[in-house]
Amino acid sequence: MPNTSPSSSRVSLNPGNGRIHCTRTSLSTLAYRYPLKLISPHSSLCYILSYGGGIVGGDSIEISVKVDKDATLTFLTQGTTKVFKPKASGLISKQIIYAEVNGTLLLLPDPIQPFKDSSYIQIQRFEVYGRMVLLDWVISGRYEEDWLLSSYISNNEIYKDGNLIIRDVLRLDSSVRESMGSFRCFANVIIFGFPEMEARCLQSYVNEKKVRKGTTLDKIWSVNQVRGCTVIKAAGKDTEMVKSILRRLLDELQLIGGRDCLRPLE
Amino acid sequence: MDTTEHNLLLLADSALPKTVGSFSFSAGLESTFQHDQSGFNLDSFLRHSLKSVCCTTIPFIKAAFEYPETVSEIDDEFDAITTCIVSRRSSVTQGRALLTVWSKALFQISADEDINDSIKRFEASVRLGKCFGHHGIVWGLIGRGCGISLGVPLSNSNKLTGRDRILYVFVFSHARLVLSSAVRMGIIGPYQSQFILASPSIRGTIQKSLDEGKRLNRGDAGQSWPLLDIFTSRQELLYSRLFNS
Repeated sequence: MPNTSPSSSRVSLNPGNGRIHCTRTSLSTLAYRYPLKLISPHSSLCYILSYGGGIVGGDSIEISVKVDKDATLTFLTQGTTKVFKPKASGLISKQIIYAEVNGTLLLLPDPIQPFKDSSYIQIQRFEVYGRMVLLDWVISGRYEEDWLLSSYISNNEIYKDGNLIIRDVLRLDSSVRESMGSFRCFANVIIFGFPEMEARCLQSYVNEKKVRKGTTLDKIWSVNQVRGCTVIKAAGKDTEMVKSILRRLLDELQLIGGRDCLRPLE
Repeated sequence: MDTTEHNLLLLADSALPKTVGSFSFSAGLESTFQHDQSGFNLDSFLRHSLKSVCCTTIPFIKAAFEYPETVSEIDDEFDAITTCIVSRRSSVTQGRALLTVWSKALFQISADEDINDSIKRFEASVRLGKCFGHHGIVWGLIGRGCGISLGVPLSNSNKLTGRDRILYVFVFSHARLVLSSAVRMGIIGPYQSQFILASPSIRGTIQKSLDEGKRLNRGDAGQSWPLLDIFTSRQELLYSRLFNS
């Protein structure tokens, strides 16, 4: 198992931190410390796990990732990441990912599930010389709990050669309870460096049926090409609807990350 | 009335958005309305729209106002957070038109050579395609050009600083834009639009959203209403439409 390899035990880490280095043939570093767990079934796939399937208020997860040229790394989770209500008010759960991508990175977790009164901040910063797909999505809460979160911030930044390409920030608070209406899932996908797939995504959006007055949709999505990235946003009355949109658009990722990589969309 | 108050009136005048062409944009109202006519509520749209524009744009207007010498970088950073093409186009169209209004008419109100230079240089970069010329950025820049001093309360008034007034007028203009679009779409009549704009509740909403936006750093600025980006993008998919955004 790579996570018990000698190289990983030498890395000293703070609680909740993890480090991964993916080379063309193996994970040369795979280290983590409680409450974070990183499990790698093979050298191009890694699961981000947390104890109890979620993050408790005050927990801080920080993962630094390096993907070498010609290497491919897929990140998945096992089920939604629950953000629990903090034991004391004011405690914020944090998840931070820093990645240097020289090869291919597919970050395809299940959605974040912020519980009632939870506060969450996610920061994901990518320095990209290769290519990447980032899926960042959130659902309304626990069963029959719709958007009762206290605050939720997700900040995705992509840099190339030190220049900011995209910064996509979502800032949710108690006002989303009203503004999301009956939509219970919102997904944001950023694609960088996959020109053919990006062109096909845009084409299928442009080919969407024209919207006539009075249509009411259960799911809604858009594709935008900006500053060399493709940004897909999708919302649905339930998670399945969003999955069906994304599955269609991202289907060909299987050719790169294997069948496993689209499991979150199944 | 002193000069700065006169200048503030110029920025608040509805002749300005007419010249700038702002009235061909509805800030996502038309698309949102067409996508969900049965569930549509103007009051709630307006509130979420104001919050959204403040959380995304206010930190950048503030920055352009405070650091006019670095306006190109601020403009590029704002472009990087604007991932919806339709919003981007609308912002850039209005921003560029506003620069033209400045260079053709408003320039004479500024006696500050440094600011005039910053605006001139920025305008040249925009014309050359080196900068985008986003609306909020230009607003902050010409707001500074209006001779409104930074951080110092205006005389004979409450504690609002000149900068706060520039920001308030921007958000007020956004509310007016949404309401005037609603009138053109026949959602409300012109009296009702004036009624909403005059109501204490809209003042409260503008101030609250503004305060929220002012607390944010540029790096934290972002979308508070995720559906708005999707609706606004889908303006291009509408079968029939009055507006460009």
